[in-house]
Amino acid sequence: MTCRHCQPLLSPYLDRALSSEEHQKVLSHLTQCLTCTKQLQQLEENRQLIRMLPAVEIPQELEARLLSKVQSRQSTIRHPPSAIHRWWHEWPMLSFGTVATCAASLLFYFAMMQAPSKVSAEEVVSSMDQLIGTLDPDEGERAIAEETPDEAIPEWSNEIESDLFENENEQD
Amino acid sequence: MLRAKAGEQEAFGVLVQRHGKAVLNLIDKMIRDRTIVEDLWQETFVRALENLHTYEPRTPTDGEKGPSFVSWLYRIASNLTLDELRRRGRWRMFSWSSLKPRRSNESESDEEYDPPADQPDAVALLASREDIHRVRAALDSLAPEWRMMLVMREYQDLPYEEIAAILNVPIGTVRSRIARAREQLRQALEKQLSWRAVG
Repeated sequence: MTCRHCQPLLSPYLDRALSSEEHQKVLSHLTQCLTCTKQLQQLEENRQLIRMLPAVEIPQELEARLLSKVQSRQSTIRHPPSAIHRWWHEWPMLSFGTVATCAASLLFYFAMMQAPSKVSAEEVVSSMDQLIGTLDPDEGERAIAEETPDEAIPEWSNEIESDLFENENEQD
Repeated sequence: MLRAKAGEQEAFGVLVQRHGKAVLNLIDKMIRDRTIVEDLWQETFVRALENLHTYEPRTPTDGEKGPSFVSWLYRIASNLTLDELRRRGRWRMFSWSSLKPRRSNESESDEEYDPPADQPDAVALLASREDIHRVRAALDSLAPEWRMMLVMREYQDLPYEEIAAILNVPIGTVRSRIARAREQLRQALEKQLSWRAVG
């Protein structure tokens, strides 16, 4: 084994994570190679440096804070919110959008209820027929007659009428 | 665990006492800001409680099936921590401080680490404080995912298989990333020593 092959294996060698065969190869190389042995020592020293970092203890007040936080959440867990409640909290924008859309739809619906209803063409035709049926056919002529009294008829029309009458008599 | 799952407050308190320190130390070795560390620690346990119903406890008959409870907690904690570091990384990209020229020996993280002053000897305290700062600065120079793996391996002493299960990556990835992280850490520590020699 050469140094180039050995060096990448030093880290797993330190962790005893090599197969027994690889372990033996590295071990036999280390007995002959000072460079790789020094590198391994360096890795071991750095490990010790990290392990030397002081361990922190849990401050009592931190533990107390956590337990009170958990206590308050526990009631929420025991009484889980309804599906709608959860949905609302997980998708606030979507929920708001849905509610806004529903409100707009309702408004539109009620607005349409107030507006005059649409009438189909057939309904218009039938109602017109009914209307025509109620009318007196002579009413139009009577109305014209009322609107056009005798004095409104020009004199020349009487003359034409009398001329025509005379001509008819002569022919007779 | 089963009692906590059934909603017993006391049982949950026992779980916090049993695993709380390990989780706190994992987060603490990733992030220096103590307030954020404590927030993430609390959030880890709150999420764990909320999702206890999804956790299938490992029984002796199951063998390797399912993660151990502490691994499951580590998974929640590591996800929260990495999310926080990514978020801070993104924010840092656009922050004013990112425009400031960084001194060569300044670490990526600009918060000052304040290690707990529980060392008995004053000289030892000073020496260790300096070393601690050096190691933390070197750790900070690693990518968050690599740092997480290295902390899990070196500090928490977790085997590759468990790290792979927690971070949901293949074992081969864990092995190669830990090797590269160690190499980067070595270089970072060497740089600091050379600066100190020059200084």
